[in-house]
Amino acid sequence: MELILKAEFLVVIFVVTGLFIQQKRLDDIVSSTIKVLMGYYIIVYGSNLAVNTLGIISLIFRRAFHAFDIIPNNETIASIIQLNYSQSVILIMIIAMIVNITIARTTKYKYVFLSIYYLLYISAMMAVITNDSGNYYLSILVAGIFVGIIISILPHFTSGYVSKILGNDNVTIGFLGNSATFLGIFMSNIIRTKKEINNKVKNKFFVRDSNIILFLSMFLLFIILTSMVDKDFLYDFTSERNRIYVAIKYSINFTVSFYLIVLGVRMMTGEIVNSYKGIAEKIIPNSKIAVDPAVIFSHMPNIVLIGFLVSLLGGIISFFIQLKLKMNVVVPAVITHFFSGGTAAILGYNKNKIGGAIITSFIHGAVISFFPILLMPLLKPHIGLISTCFSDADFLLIALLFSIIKKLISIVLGVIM
Amino acid sequence: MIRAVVLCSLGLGSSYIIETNLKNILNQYKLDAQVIRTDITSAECYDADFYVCSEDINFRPTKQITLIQLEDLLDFEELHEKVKKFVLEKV
Repeated sequence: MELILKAEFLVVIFVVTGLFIQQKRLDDIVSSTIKVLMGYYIIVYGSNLAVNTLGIISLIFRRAFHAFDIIPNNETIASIIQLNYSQSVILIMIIAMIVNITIARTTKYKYVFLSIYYLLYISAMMAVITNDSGNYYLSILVAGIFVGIIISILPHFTSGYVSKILGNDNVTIGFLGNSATFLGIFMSNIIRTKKEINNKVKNKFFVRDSNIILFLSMFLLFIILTSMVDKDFLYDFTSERNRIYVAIKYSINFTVSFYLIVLGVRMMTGEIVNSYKGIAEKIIPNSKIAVDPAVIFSHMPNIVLIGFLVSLLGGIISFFIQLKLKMNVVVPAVITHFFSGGTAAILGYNKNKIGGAIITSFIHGAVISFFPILLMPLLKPHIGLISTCFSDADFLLIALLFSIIKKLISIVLGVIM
Repeated sequence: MIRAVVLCSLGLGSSYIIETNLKNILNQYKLDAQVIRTDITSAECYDADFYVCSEDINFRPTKQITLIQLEDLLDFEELHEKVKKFVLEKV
């Protein structure tokens, strides 16, 4: 009984079921099974490396700035949670997918949420915040249904804007920065002039390599950190005396942990999403899909770049404000500033042109630099002192919404959850 | 056996659309194909007959490869045209 509910077994069952329904050959099913298990364990190894590297980064940060650091990174925190809560994470994810398909089949909310990696991260967060409840399976079921409803409804917030960009509403984006974006769009409504920019001019110098961007930002951070602590302290905790070497070593290691986790997520969710899409296409006659926000980037590449830089600027300014006010300090999550800041800029541009793009992405950058501070206390009892958090804006709101619903349900049912 | 590599920034999101469309097209031509999805960092570690990515990620290959760049990831016809050109040349 216990074997059936192990996380590895659950993902295999899901993948095999989906492939079976699509009448795939036996050798395809076997190789997909092996791939999904390999992906699962690559995530485990990546997250172990992340835990070790983050430990050293936090030590040096706290010594240098006398403040607690939060380095938000969806992949890192989700995989660290999965080390300890793997069964809950996978169960919630599978229930959410079933609920999503059911809602798409039976209601007017027809988007099938294909950004399975985001679903994995949301499920990881839910696994942690439902942990203190009474009946384990009941709370997993409620969490799964909640997540399924959320991912069915979320794409509709932006589907209006996206359908204007793409010309149809069969495909929309599965985006997790809606709260920050709509706050920014609201504030950008004060713009009177609607100035457009030329999106045909291509910039050829900015290579969108996330690993390189992450390394450069961590390296910069490390150079600053190591220059602010004395060499003996560094030696005590890293056994190295050279500051530049420490900076390179730990930035590369953090980048490698990210790379491994992404590789594992890609392998695991790649097999899962194939099965998922196969099941959805068989069951839902006129389904539409919600996919990665980056699909709309090619329409407005210069807006994306502006969104990235302005969002990052919002993050850097927030960083210094937090230092000055002696709060917990959020290190700018460059990859989220790029992907979600870029998306925020495109949505803002859609409404209020260049002024909208700039204000929306700046607000986005500031919001994702403060929301993790509010989200940490909700997660902390369960993940201890790991100094990372979810980096997209909507994670906080999803967690808060669930807490409210949990309280309402427990009042209504009189059952301790 | 044709090997294709599909890539995007992280290999997670937008390349999934390209992969789905590409597999569709290669099935149409009844070609035995292996499609690998990866990120831009490790794309060239995989040897392939051709590579597909979106134009705006500014992928700059360091060696001589056949690269199909798409202006619009969601445009099935664009991918179809460019792959057809490649397939007719090679096969």
